Amino acid sequence: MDVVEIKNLSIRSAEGQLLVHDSSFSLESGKTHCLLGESGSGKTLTSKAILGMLPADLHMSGDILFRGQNLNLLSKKSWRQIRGKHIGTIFQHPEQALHPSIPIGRQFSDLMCSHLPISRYEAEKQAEKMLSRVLLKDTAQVMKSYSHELSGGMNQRVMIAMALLPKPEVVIADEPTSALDVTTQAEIISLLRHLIWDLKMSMLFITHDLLLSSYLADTIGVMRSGEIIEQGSTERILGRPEHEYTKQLCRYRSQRILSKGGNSPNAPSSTAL
Amino acid sequence: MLRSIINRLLMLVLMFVLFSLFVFTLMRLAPGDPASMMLLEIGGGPEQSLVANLQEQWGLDQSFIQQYLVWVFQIFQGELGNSFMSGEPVVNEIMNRLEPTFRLISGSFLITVVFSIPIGIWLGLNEGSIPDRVVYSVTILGLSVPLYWLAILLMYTFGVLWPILPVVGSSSGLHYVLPITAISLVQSVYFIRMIRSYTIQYSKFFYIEAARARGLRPYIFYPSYLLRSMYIPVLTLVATSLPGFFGASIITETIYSFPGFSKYMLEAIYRRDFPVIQGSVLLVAAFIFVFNFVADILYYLADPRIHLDKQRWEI
Amino acid sequence: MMNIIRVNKLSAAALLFIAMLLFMGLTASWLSPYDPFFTNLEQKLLPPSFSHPFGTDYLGRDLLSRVIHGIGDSVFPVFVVLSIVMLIGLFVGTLSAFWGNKLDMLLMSVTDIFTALPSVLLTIVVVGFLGFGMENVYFAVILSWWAKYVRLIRGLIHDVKKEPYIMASRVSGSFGMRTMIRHMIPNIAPQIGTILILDVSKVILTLSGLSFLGIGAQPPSPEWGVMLLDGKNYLQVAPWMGFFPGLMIFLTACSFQIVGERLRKGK
Repeated sequence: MDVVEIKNLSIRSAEGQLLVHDSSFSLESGKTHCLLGESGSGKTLTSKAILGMLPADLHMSGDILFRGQNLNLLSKKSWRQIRGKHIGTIFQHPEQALHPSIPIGRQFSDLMCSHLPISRYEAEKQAEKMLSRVLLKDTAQVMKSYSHELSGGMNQRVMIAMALLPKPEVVIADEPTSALDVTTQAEIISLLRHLIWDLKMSMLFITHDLLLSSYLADTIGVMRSGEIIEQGSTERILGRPEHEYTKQLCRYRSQRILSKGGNSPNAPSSTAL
Repeated sequence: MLRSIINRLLMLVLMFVLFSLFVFTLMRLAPGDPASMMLLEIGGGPEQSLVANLQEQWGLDQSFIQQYLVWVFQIFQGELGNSFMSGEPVVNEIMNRLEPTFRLISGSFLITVVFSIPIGIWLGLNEGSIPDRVVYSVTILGLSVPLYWLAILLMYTFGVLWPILPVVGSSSGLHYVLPITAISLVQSVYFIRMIRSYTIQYSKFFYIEAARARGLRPYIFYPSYLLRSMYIPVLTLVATSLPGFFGASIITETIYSFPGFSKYMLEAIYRRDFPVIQGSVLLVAAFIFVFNFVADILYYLADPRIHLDKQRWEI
Repeated sequence: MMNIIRVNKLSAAALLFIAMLLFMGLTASWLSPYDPFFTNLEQKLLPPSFSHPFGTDYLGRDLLSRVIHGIGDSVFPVFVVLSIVMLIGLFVGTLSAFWGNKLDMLLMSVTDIFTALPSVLLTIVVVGFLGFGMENVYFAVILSWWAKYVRLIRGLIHDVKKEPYIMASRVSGSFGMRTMIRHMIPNIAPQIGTILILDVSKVILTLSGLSFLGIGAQPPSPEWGVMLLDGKNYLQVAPWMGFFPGLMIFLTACSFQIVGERLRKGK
């Protein structure tokens, strides 16, 4: 069953320039779909459209179905109730995505109390449990901290915990690791993969990194200048690319692997959990 | 934290010293010496012996620095002298008139803040919408409305054409309606514009976008996320607006014959009543400087990035 | 699109108003139908009519003629004050930007203090002790505005100094102060011009306000603030006496505000 289905999504700028052109894809329940493309290809805009958070001066057409329900027809209020609760989001720059002057714990309880009829105490207890699931130590201390007191990797773990805590059906991860250093990147990715699998969530993973997508994705859609030029299962896309651009990407990847001396291409160095 | 407060405190003292030096210098530069001025005021002729006597009594024959130090010392003892006009101590004269002015300023201040913060935020969130464009164009016009003209127009409308409100004095609550309306209208225009632009600027911040993506309830999101992040610019706006409100109170008190401190000070300027002018400016300056100082302290409390005692720590 | 055209019309109207104002101010003695100081008690407090479009005041003086003559007393001084402020700013600002370090630090702390001192206070102290009259009011306004311009111009010069073509001209040896200034003035002039125009409306509100309070221009000057003060005293019998001068202050301030705002947003 498809959790999210995008049909003929187009986004135009105020000047009439086409930013995303007639793209359709679907995200199966419990699976990970990867939007792969260079920066400026419209990946992030697509994810914003799913959240209903496109800038007001952009014009959108097409349908976004969430569990069969057309999100475009929702009121602002019901759309808000879906964000966070049913669709969680993990951002690229975790330290910028957490409010700088509100303690982490408070941000967790604000989130939970916005969507569920629970007390702040209860919310914070759940949040602490979730923090230990993202492998943070000393969770009580983290709850009291502000985001600038944590390292980038810790912030991203907090971000992941925050996205997963309300048990959303779908998680959108927008380049969650590109701002982190390589070792932390590997840790975060394997953690994310493990948790998503464990909690049986679907994920829309947005990246420019072919390696990451081959590791995480069940299906891949390749985006270029606002258009999905090719999509299909990961094996198909990587094994038998049809579009010239995808072929180039794959060729570039094999070159990189060769130059690294033929290390295992499918997983970042440390996958053990 | 402590160090920044001490720094601010030193700055505060420095400001006081420089301002008092400025006041003192101008007082000495004033045309006509105070002794003959006072004798003239109380009706006597400027006879040489009397003038010399007074000059000696006030220490006017000493050097500039000495005089300044003596003067500062006197002020610290609370001796601001007596009014030339009434002969009463300046301190008492000012204290008797502070209450209506205080009510006027705090009333219009509250109304301005209470109305313009939500309006400004709402406009900023709906940037480019029709109400936003309309209100924004009105504020461009509003910035150019002279307060003194607006106050007179209000006075004419509600005092002459449609006489439902008292326009002279301060004896009842109703007397405050027009002055407070006039001041709040003019100040709100500025506040709304500034808060609108802060809202536009801060909603683009990533953590506000991210908070929105978490679907927070409006009553949590707006006060504790959006407004919280704008705390420092809004605080600056509020803190630096105090002199503006004070200037506005001089104009409105004069127009509505409001027996308050600001009007009294203006009258002291007409009559060249130096002790009163001196006492008033020092009081107002003290008030404004301390207000700014408090705002500075609030900055540090507002921004946790200043919490230096907690170090960045790793797993 | 609609919006842009509308704003353009508005700023065109504002520009036209300013041009008319300047023209009328310069030709006041030919344009005005009556002598602005000629009193005629038989014609006092007449409401606006064909022969006296703005009415007459309590001494029978024609208000239209006084308003036109008032341009010279209300608007032109603003230009003088702002020119002085700008010259001080240019001089001290360039000095501060070029002779870095100690002088710069000293000047910056002095301007810091002056920007922190509210202009209301400065004005009261100056006018209170030195007495009223326009000269002291100008002095007070200059005193409270110069620091802003020094900082502004110093900042602009610092920005321009980093531009590649200025660096290039320094590298290529044209290091002299004169060449530098010749390269820089055209680059910083637009920004300064915009701020100056926006400040015209603030300064005119201040100057007329002080005259209205009775501590600026003195009667029988046809300064608009002074006329508004007269109007306030005759509010019940002759509301037009205050209305027109106030309207002129408002329209003038408004026009400069609109033009300045337009320049700031660019094109």
